[in-house]
Amino acid sequence: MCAECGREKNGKRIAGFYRTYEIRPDPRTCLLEQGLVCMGMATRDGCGALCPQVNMPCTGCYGPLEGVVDQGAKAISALGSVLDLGDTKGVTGKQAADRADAAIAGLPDPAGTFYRYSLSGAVRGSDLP
Amino acid sequence: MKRICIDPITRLEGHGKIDIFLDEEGNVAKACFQVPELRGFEQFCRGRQAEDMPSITSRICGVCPEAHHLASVKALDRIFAAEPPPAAKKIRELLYMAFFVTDHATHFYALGGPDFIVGPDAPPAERNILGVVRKVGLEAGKAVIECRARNHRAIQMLGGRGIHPTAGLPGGWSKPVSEAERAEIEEAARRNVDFALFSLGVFEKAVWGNPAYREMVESGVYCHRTYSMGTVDERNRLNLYDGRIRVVDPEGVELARFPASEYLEHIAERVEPWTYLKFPFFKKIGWKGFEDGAASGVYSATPLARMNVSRGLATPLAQCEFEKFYAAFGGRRPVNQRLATHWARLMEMLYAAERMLSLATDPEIASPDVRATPQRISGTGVGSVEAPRGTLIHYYRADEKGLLESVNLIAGTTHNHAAIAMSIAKAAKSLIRAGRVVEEGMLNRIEMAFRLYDPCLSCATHALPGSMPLSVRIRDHSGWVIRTLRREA
Repeated sequence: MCAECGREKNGKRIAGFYRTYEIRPDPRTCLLEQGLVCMGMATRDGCGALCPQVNMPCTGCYGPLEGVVDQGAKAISALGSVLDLGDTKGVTGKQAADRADAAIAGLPDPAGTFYRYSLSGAVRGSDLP
Repeated sequence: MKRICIDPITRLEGHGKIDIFLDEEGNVAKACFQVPELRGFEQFCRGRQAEDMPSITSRICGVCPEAHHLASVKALDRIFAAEPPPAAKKIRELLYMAFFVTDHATHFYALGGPDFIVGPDAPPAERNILGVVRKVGLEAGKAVIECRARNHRAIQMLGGRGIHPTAGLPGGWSKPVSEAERAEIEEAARRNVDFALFSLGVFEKAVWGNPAYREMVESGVYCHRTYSMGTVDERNRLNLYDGRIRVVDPEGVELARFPASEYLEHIAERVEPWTYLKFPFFKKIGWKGFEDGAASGVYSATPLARMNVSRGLATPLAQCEFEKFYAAFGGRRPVNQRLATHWARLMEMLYAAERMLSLATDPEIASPDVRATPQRISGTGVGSVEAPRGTLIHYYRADEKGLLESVNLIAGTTHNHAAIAMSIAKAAKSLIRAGRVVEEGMLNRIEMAFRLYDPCLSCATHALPGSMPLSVRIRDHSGWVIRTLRREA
């Protein structure tokens, strides 16, 4: 859905996530880069990026992208690329995992966030009747 | 006992079923209004982030998501201890008024109106919105479509989406209104006022001006003397977005006036084994069965009930109509003739249009200050609005992470459940007698008894709508189907 969204992406990385009531996002730049879980990067377009136009993150209601079965996994993998875990030189796998856990500590309902409309499709396969 | 089954009933939101049981003589023994569906929002919303509820509960219904969105966000204001700035409250109400105009227009022209405008005995193929357009004129059909289009556009500008808005946040609204948006919405509101006056004119001419319909409206068949409930402002005038919930008895005497947060002290819910939809009643009076009168705790919460609890309407044209309405019923208050609900609905459409105009021209509406900062994320919150079909109450309790532990939703149709069942039984008893053949138009008149409530079973059980063919089965006393009548959707 990002292709339809007028917000600017600056390649900024983030240290953690906010819930919607916690911040007042800038109206011009990418919501994900401001720390809101915006599902736009894992969601089929067609709506015209309605929710980001009123400063609210995409919740994924149009379902997964073409060829993707698991919308939530796609979103989580995209989050991995914007998450800033700091300098990881000499850091053990466990320490890196702890930092990642801390970064997502602000999201207490991951299943409800990443799979709001798509859990059954992800579990059963989207081509089932 | 013979059994006449109307399943599924048509021109309502959702899916329901009417069973009429006849005795050996062919008279109506009893009637049941069953809702055979269950969706379980109150269960699966547990554990969800509280702030997601305005968008999750919107999905209960594609017809009145705005009502759920606002009741939900008002509950969040309480949980998060964040009082929205004045502009945020006004934006919410502005969106809500646009929604009321379009929703009531849908009911009058597509759902309830065809019975009156085309006629209760007209064939079902004509008793629909196309039949209405044929009767009232092509221009009117165009006006209905334009009304829906401009109001859904206003809802999208204000709330992010034309259906299922998304801008509600605890303590406010996610986006201020720009001057260009405000100007467009003002223009839409002006046209809404004209459209509401036009619709009242249609009602006056096609319904009230027709002696046969007028007799039907005034007849005892569609009369019920129950308690009425609705939301009023500090001067006891109707308010659809906010205020105190007021209850009056069948004579108009006030029983209670309370904030939504105290609803549990006033309303209890009865469960019957034969339907998933619960029956709320007033605790103070108690459940005495499906009975009329001040001694029975049954109440209704409809546009008519809202008129009955209000001293007046806060906008000038609607107030004139309000006075005309009660004068037409001989100055008696409250009005208990349930078919008058259609008239009351159009009065609300006019009120909503005028209120929308006054909010769109309010200097504060374009203020950038639309969010208050939450002070906490846990606790309980109750939010309520007057949905088109009755008072809508959302109750949540959230834990220290702002995750929901408990959810209760009472939708407009739920309040009216007992009253709907009573209206159907009464209509059936008066219209089906021994030896009389059950004709299609007669069954439709029984359906009119529930359709006046504009029931939304999707909301009431949080159940999905189905297709709408109508099949009627008549069973003899041993349960065998002796006759099947069917009409296709």
